[in-house]
Amino acid sequence: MPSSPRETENDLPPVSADELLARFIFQSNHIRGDHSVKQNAFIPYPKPNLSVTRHLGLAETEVWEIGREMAESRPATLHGRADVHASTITTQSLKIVPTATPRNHANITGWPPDKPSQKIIAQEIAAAAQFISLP
Amino acid sequence: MILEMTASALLSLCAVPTCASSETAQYLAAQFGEGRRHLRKSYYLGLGMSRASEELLGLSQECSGDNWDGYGAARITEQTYLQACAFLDALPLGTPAPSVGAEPDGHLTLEWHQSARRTLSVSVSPEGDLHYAALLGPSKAYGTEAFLGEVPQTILDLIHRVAPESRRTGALIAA
Repeated sequence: MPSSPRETENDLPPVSADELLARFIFQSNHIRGDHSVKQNAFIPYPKPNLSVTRHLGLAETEVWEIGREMAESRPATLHGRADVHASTITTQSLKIVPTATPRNHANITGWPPDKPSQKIIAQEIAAAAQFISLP
Repeated sequence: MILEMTASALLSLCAVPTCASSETAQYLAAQFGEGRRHLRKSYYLGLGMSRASEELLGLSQECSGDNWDGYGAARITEQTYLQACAFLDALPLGTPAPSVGAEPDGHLTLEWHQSARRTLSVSVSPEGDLHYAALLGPSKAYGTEAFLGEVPQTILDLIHRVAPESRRTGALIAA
């Protein structure tokens, strides 16, 4: 039986400006009482990049499915997700690098090394993000 | 010798660093600190600082193990908690209470937030570095200040810009 071809980074569709990216929230303190997202949720650590899930080609239920899988694997409690448009990221001179695994995953790279610069960028992203509670 | 501490002195807007050396000076510093702690218990003057202190303790305990955010976060150490408490305690009376938070690198945050583009976040590191970032309408401010027992003027100014009522409350208390 022939094996199905594996998708490589080069095969992945490029990220368009209007594409939505989800950052799953596993810490309740990263959400304010008014359901806005704190900058804390977008600080890159321990790697110098930020892990997000592309909405591309996924139904709403499939996006949540990925979040639940992530929560189970950690383990952690999934509280919701913060959605941002790709243009919000690239406006901050960051790059969005899709990866073959896990499904629809991408890394936000190009962060400055110093903490204050990371914080101000995280604030700009948080200001534009929309929090969606876990249904 | 009778030492009198007036309400206006107690309600002074700035914390007094405890670098006193003489017995009298040390006594005054201790009385001053006690007076501040007493006034902090008043919700109006403390503006919720007691609640913020309690939240800081609860959050530090909640995030005392690694990977508390599900992405590999570093734990909040006792040293970071103590630095954040000292910073909170050093805020001038009349300052609105911040909301507290934790960052994945193990820093604690104190946030003054009015809206998406009128917000200030101060990260407290275990070494006592204060990394701040503020969005103020179309402008922004960010940088690092050392915490040496007093709240840096740069950060106080940003608090006043995000929450202008704090300046008025401070002026009323001073009067």
